[in-house]
Amino acid sequence: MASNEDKYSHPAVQNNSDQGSSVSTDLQEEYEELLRYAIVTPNIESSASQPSHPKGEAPDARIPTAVVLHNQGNTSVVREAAVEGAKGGDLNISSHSRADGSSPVLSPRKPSHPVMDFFSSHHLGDSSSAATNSTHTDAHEIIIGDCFVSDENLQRMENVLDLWSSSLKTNIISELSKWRLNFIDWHRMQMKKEKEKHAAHVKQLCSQINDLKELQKAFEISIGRKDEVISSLSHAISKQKERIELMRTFFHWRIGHVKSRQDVYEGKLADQYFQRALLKKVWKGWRSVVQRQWKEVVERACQARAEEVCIQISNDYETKVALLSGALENAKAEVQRMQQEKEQFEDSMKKAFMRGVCALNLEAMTMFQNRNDTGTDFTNNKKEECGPGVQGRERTVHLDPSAFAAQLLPSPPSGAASTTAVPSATSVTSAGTASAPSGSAHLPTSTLGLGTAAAAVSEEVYVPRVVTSAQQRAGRTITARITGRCDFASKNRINSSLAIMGVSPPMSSVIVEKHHPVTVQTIPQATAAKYPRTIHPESNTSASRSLGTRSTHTQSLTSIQSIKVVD
Amino acid sequence: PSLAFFLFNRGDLVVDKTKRKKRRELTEEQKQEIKDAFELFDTDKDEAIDYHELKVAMRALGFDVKKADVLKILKDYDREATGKITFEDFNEVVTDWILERDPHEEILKAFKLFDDDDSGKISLRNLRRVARELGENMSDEELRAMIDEFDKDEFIAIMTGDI
Repeated sequence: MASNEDKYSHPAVQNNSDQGSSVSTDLQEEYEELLRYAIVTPNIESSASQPSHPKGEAPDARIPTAVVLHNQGNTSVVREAAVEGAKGGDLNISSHSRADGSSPVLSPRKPSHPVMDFFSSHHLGDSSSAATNSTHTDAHEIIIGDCFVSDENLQRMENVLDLWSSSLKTNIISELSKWRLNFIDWHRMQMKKEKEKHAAHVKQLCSQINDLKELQKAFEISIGRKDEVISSLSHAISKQKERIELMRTFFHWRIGHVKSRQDVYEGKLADQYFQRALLKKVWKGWRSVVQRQWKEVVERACQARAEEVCIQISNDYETKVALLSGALENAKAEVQRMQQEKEQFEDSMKKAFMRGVCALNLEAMTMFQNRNDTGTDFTNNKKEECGPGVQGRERTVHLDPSAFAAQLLPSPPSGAASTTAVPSATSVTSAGTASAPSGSAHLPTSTLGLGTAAAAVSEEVYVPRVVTSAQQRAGRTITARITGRCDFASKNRINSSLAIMGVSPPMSSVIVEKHHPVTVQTIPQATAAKYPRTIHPESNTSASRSLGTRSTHTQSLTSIQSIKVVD
Repeated sequence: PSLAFFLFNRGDLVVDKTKRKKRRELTEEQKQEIKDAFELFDTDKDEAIDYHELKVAMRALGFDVKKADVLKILKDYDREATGKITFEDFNEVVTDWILERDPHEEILKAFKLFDDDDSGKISLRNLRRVARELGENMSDEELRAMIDEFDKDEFIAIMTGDI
């Protein structure tokens, strides 16, 4: 036990000495040692002998004064006394205490130490309070000692001190042993605690290690898995790549294939197109050949048909022409017949007229020889007489307008006569001749009722008349030929319609020709002039009637009514 | 009237023929043929055809051209290096080619097309098939008349005139 304590305390002391190397520290150590002693004693007293405490009470009561003294006086003395006491008291104890007390001394220095803590917390507090007590008592006793210093007292003091020190010593020892035991217990307990702690720690660590191991294992597994995954993925990727490669080549091939097929198809399409175009062309050509032949056939047929139709039409027209020509012939025969009739009529009329004229002439000659001055009135009257005389009554009765025209017509010759104022025989002739056209002029009117005969009759209108007017002074006659021409004559012939005749005047123009006076010597010339076309001159009364079938000739070759020979 | 029309037509045809011989020009039909072929193979309607289309179009006009020929044409006429040839250029090339076509060869080809059973003769059956293919609705009498009234010389004259 002691060795154990020594072991422990020794380093502590050493440590202590190491720290305090200077004189002051030595001094402090000494003081503290002393103080420890002082502290320990009351502690032991209080702990070991409780009953002694009341005893110590008495000196305590005196302490205040002693303390004052002590304070006023020299503390060094008190200290010296205490030191001396301690020196003188017990060397053993000092040595022992030194060994023992080192720990309490150290206690304030190392409060962190668990053991010291234990001490200081438990006992130092106690001891400090006790220390004050002890110092009080110490001081009291010193004071007392100062007051009552005697041998006896010293002896007693020595005894007391001895007793005190011995009891102190035993107390201290016991206390120390108790401390030691306590300490050991505490240490054991601590050790046990530590061990337990350590065990727990170890256990914890173990479990931690296990955990870590498990973790490691898990990680290893995961790493393994990862590797696996990586490998599988790379495998898959490589496979994919391979596949893509394969696909690529395949599609390349396929594109090429499709392209070639497309080419082939396009070629085929083009060929087909071409063939079709060619076929169409050739077909068209062929058909046009055939159609051309057909067209020729059709052409021929058409021609034949056209010819047939033409023949038919020509035949039709032929018959029509024949029919019409027949009708024409008939009409012509009719015209001929009418012409003959008319000629007959005219001849008879002329004869009658000439007879009348001759008779009148004779009468007039006789009258003129007697009286010379009747003039124009006579001619007018003559005409008046002549008209109805020749024509008969029907003219005036039937158609007044025509009668009026007939009256007017002779007026130019009569006018001429009046202007010339020749109331001679010539004027008579002129009147006589003038009456002739009037007569012929209203011939159509008179024959209105006769119908178709009118055409033939109307020709008479164009008979030229010769009007001879004589100039009284010169004794010469001027012969004029008056020709009346009907413009519608031809029309009249064709249409043979009477309506036109009725509307338009029968004579549209009168031609007056001037001739040289005809004498006996000039008769042949006169006749030649009068009959330019007729070869044989006829008698003065006779009119050439060389009317052939041509009616136009009748117009042109109208007969000369008369050639008067004037003396 | 049909007769007159026919005569007129014929006269016109003769005039046309002589004119063409002199001036070496294509008929309207041939021009239309070229245009049709071009438009048929100008699939994207940009008035230009590329190598493949050109080849096919030439073939559609009955020219079995080699690849080198097509490439040469393309090189000669592709001024802007687009790899394509316009209608004007195509027309120019093909016009020359068509003018050099041998009508007898054409007729021979056509004959083979008619005579699909290689009998060396065109039967009524062949003719009927062709008529059906061309969508012509003709009676058997008409077809027979076509065979009966076929005049080789006249046919060739028409084809050479027409072609």
